[in-house]
Amino acid sequence: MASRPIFKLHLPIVDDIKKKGLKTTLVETTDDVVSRMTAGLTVGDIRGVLRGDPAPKPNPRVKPHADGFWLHMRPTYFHNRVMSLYPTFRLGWLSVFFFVFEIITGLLLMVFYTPSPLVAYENMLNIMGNVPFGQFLRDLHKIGAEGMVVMVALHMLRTFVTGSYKKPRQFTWFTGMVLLMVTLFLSFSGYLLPWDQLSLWAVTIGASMVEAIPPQEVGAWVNLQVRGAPQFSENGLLRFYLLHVFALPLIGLIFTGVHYYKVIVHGHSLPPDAEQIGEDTARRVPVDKRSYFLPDVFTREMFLVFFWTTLMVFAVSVGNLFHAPLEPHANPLVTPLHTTAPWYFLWLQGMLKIGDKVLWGLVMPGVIFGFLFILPYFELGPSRRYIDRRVGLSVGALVVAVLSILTFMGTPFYGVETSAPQEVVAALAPQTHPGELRAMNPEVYPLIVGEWDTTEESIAKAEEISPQFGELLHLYASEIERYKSLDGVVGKLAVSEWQSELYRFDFTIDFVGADGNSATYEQIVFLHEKGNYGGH
Amino acid sequence: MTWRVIVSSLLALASIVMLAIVAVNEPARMKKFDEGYQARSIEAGAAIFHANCISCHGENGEGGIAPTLNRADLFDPNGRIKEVGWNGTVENFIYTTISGGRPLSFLTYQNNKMPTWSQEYGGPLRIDEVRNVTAYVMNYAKNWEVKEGEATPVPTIDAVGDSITESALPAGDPVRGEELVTKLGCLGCHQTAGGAGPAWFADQTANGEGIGTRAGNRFGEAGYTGAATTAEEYLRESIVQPNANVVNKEDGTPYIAGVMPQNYGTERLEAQDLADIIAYLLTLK
Ligand code: HEC
Ligand code: HEC
Ligand code: HEM
Repeated sequence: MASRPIFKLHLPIVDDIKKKGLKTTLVETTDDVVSRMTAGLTVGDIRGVLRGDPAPKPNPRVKPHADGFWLHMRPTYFHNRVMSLYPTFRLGWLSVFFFVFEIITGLLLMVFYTPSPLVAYENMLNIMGNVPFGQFLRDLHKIGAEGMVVMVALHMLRTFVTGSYKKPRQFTWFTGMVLLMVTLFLSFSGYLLPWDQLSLWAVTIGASMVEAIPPQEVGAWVNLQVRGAPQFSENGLLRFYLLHVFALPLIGLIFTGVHYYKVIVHGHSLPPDAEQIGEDTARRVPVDKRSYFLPDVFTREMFLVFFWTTLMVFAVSVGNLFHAPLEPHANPLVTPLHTTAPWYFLWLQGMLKIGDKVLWGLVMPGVIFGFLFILPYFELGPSRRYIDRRVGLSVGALVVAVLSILTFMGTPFYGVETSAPQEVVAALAPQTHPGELRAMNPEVYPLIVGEWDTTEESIAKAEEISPQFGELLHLYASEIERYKSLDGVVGKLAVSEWQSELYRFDFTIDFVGADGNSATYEQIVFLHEKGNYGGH
Repeated sequence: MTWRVIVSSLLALASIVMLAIVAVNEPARMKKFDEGYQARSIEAGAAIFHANCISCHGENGEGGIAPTLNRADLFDPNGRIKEVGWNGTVENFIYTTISGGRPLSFLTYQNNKMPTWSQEYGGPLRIDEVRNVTAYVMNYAKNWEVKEGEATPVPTIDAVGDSITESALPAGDPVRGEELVTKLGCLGCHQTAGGAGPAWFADQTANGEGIGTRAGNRFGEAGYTGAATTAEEYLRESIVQPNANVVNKEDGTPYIAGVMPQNYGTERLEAQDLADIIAYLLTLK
């Protein structure tokens, strides 16, 4: 009986090499692998796509749309008229890009983060000081978050301006509104996670609105659900974390799917002048007006990906243009002077300054967002042409203008007055960012030990020792001048060496209080030579 | 190739170069961050110390009703921690002391208790705040660092000593004396009736006599065990040799000997300081 091998190894590639030679086999195998991965494109096809060669016939570039997972969700071709920057400005794609960018950088940051007030801030220090590329990642994630808000808002503005929310795309707009909320709350919930003074208080201000919900019992209850306790602490941080890394991204991903599915179903709306009023021809693209996804759309989209990635990398690295801030550890007992909500919620903070919390903090935002959600269902004018939508577009422009004004009103420049001497010192040594005093070169500290004030002689003397310090006293003097109640008041500053490398700055302002009695405002600031606030 | 593909490739290249630059700078950057953070921690600690500790430990750690923190042996691995049998590091010793406080005092010259500070043990400060204030206290160590080839640093103060007759004191300035008793923490024990030491101010005593009046009578009283013959000498003796004569409380029982710090004369006051304090005390009739 012939012996049967119990195990036999057969490598077809070896046969191929024997038969066709090494080179041909390798080329063919590579081609095979590549066309499996791309669901139909060989190396040669890809080269053709990148070179922008005209498509061969039959066109292999449509195969990935039929057989591949990723491209099956993208249309095979677009209408020529939506290929240039106008009308989409590719802002929808950029929204997708920023979203994915945030997910990637966010996942990497998650590795180093624990959502507990006991360690969250320390985790930040660790990311900044111990994790290679830690600060880089954190900066990218933060700049990406701001970018995403901007892109989504601009995308929304453009779909409004081109009237793309109109029939049959009402629901696309509606899901877009959901995505807008997701974007805003993603940014907002992420704000809390570093657990520094900035994050705690910015989010506290943002969340203070829910407390105002009438009746009081309901407001208190909702507030409790949001913060997990009367104030943000373990529970609140955990809730925001879960929203930030789980619930909101999930909702975002699902709705991006629905949103984009609707875009494909209805086709990208053509520029308003490209079709008859009331007509929607986006789905019927004549053969001669087709631009194929591969290569035209693909290279454009990829170009934007590279462009924005490089730009952001530049901004946070070599360019040194943007760094995510990290303030001192969150302290629920100390409200820093002039905390503001994140910039995209400043308009809300501005509205709150107008008046009643319930009306301006709840009713108005509710009305605005509710109005936007249902906009396409009652704004039924059939024409998408600009000339026919003068009223709508003017209202849109007005809204943008009002939002900008409200945003300005939300900043501390508008309408917040605490005690004047406190404001003066806060202008030099603010509690929410480094400010002028800390920006001074630490090498100056030893030279300026002594007593100073805001008189001309003192400033002149200071300037001789260090122009930077003279500048600071100048600012001190001009800040005092800004307040009527401090007319003629001289601000004092005593500098002493306190410990090894540690200096103590005593600000003292004697003034006449509102009650007519003389009073003294004192504030001590300790600064270490190596505080690394960037002063030089 | 379309320009987009070319530019994209260049951009990708630029990104990689920038990443490489970041990678090269990372170690230095991380070190600088840590250093900066450590420095800011000391800054924050200074503010916490100012708000919570100076009433007992003196405005700049010079001591008062609690031990001096700006002192050499606290940071000497063979000093304080050896004395109390602590097996950890100095930093650990300080961190633990601040966190948990000292329910029982191990210093003999004080009868005060170090309060508990960390929230972990029911105190008011968060853990990170305790860390910051520890960093601040640890920064005093730099004042006492022994540089190679140098002798152990000695306080630059020319202490007056504990004799009451050896040298005459210069003329005193009561205004500066008043500042000194605040700075040195004397008031922590001597300000009010029922404090750790006899109250100095007339309105705090039953017979209406301030320390300035008492000083002229004490050495004539029965049971006086010191060597003073004038009010000035009495005050000098009480400060530099507190145990030479331990006075009684108003209820007739004696104060506990050794509560008042014993090292003012030998370590902490210069002749001028002592003269100023005495001049001030004499004004408190
Ligand atoms: C109520 C007065 C009081 C306050 C306030 C106080 N301490 Fe103390 N502290 C003491 C006393 C008393 C001791 C000495 C305990 C003993 O006898 O063992 C002490 C001891 C210490 C020691 C150990 C010194 C040594 O040589 O063993 C450190 C360190 C210290 N304190 C730091 C602090 C810090 C930091 C703060 C502020 C957060 C603070 N203390 C606030 C009373 C105080
Ligand atoms: C830890 C608490 C404490 C501190 C701090 C302290 N003392 Fe005393 N002092 C006492 C006690 C207790 C007595 C009474 C026992 C004695 O006479 O030795 C006393 C007694 C005195 C007396 C005599 C009082 C009398 O009525 O006859 C004088 C004077 C005095 N102290 C001065 C000072 C001065 C000056 C300082 C600061 C440089 C100071 N003390 C700091 C606790 C303190
Ligand atoms: C995370 C947020 C969002 C993502 C990822 C996203 C993505 C996209 C993409 C890829 C397109 C197609 C191409 C383009 O117009 O650029 C699109 C179209 C559209 N989006 Fe969004 N979008 C988001 C938010 C919004 C918002 C906030 C709105 C408005 C409230 C909105 C309304 C629309 C409409 C109406 C269209 C159809 C445009 C047309 O057919 O011309 N989207 N979106």
